[in-house]
Amino acid sequence: MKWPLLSLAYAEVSGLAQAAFAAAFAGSVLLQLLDKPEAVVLFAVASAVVFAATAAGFRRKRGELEFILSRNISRASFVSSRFFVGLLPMALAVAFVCLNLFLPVSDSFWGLFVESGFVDTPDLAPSEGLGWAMFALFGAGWAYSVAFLFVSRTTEASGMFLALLAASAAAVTVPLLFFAMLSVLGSFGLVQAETAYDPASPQWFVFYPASLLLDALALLVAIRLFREVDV
Amino acid sequence: MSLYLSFVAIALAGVIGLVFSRNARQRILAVGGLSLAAVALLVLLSWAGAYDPVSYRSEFAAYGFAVPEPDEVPAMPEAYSLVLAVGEMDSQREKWFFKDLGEIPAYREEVVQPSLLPDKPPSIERIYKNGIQRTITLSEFSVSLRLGWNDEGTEFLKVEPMKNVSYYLRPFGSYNGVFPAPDDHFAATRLFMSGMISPADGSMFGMPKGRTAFIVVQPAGEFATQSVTVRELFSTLKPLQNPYVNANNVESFEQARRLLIRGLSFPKRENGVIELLGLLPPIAASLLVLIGLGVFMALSRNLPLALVAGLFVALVSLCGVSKSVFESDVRDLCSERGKIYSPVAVVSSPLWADTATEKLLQCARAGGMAKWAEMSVEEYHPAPTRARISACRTSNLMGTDVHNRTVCFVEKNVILVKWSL
Repeated sequence: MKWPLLSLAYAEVSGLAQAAFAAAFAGSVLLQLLDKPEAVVLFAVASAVVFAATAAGFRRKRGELEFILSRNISRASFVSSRFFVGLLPMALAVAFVCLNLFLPVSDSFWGLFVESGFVDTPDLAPSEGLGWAMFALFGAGWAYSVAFLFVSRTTEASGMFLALLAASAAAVTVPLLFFAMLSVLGSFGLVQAETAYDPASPQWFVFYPASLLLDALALLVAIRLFREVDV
Repeated sequence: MSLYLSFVAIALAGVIGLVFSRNARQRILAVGGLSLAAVALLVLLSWAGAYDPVSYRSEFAAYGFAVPEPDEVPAMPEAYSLVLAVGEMDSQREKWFFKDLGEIPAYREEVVQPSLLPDKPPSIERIYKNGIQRTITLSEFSVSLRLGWNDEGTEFLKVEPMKNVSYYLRPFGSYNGVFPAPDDHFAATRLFMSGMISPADGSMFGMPKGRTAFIVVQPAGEFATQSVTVRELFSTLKPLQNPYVNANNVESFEQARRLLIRGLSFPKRENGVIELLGLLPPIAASLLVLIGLGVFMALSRNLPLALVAGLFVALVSLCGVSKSVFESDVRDLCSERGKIYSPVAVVSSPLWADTATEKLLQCARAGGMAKWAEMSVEEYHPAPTRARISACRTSNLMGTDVHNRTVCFVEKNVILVKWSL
């Protein structure tokens, strides 16, 4: 990867990154809309899909792609730079929103201006909030990787929407499979089945590093598939 | 401080908008947005804070109650008249009025004795009290009231809330003292107390509104009447004095008023930005939108920044105006000019609980010792309430703050506990 390549890719997602940070700050700190785990997970998945659609949509600009690849740039570094330039601001925005689950970010902010009312005690215990934050963050990473892989294969807008749909289904499948595995293991008494519903439980902490491996695998597949593409 | 901050934020937004504007169109937008935000903030400031404790008024309606001589009332009256006494208190006034609920018979006639002899008609037996009941629906107060005598002839009064009551409503019941003894003019039994947050002129988040009611039961008949208000009722006529410790009888006007203030002190108010924004009256919400829109226009070159800055300035303006309203409310709190509602207005301010507590503490200290009200501890969550009242007592202060949730405050020798759920 080269810095000019990264900055070129970032120029494309910078507007989206600003919008994501604005939404994250307004939603989590100013309005306290994103203080529930479900809302945070929803924001994370939505961010993943939007960032992936932007970062992986390079094949729709054929002239630009042809020009870039005609320079001294490998296809692997091109795809990787697009992947990370989308992933990083997405992860930062989601991480910022996740902070509110286990730290009183919004309360501390509003505590500068008022004494009560806007300052609302969080419902979750810090450990539980941390568990949900990990779930949202790693889940968003996985959703982003899958969506990037699927969208990077498309050349038309209509195809991109279908790819996003398929990517959403594929992204949900892995946590569901993991959940099913926990249930099966729980039925044999190997793990505590009742804690499978709780992302803060130790079993789910196995999923998080595994999802990183899956992210890397998705990137490698995307690079490999792009190598075979005739631009 | 936050009021000045909102002015500073608006000015800053304008300066940033002007400095970073690329062309004349953006500069016009920046100046227009800045003006719009500043004007909307000033209008919001002038609109808010209309509550004035000095202009607070009291209204006491009169009702003609029977005042029979002791020898005029039979030992077993054939009917009792029912009069509802209602007290309401809000940011504008304290109002007491009566409502006639009709009568309840004390006997019924039944053909229960068939004749044993063929030529003699069956006898009609008059049965007093047993099984006579009356149900009255008070839909305007969201309660239904049932009173009378059960099958064994024991008197009772039961108040039940209607379904889906969204505000604080505490009904009472009683199994003695509902009907007056022969030498009493009347018996008064408390029915309920309630509290809610309702919109008020110039108030940012609404003001508490409290209601209570008790029922006045008198022997019915052709007796001389005297027109009295609730304030005079207990001194002019002789109320039933119930010997039971936990009876629900009302024996003085102060007792009725205390019940009213207790209901007033318990309205449930939400915490959180969105929840509190939902309580804003339309005019305040519109002005806040205009402030946000003005800042958004001023910074429209960068839309994400403009969105965040617009929201931020609008919310800080809300905090600032709320502080201004609060300071207006506490102005006469400790003085004689402050009326009975003032402590409630102060303590109900959602954004300034700490200052409200401190202010009430100052008033309490300045006012000398006050006796504790007989505060019932069987509210929604008895154990925490009891613990907090105990903590208030232990601290030997007339007002204190326990875990930022409880405020004990003084009102004319009565200490109330406001408990923020």
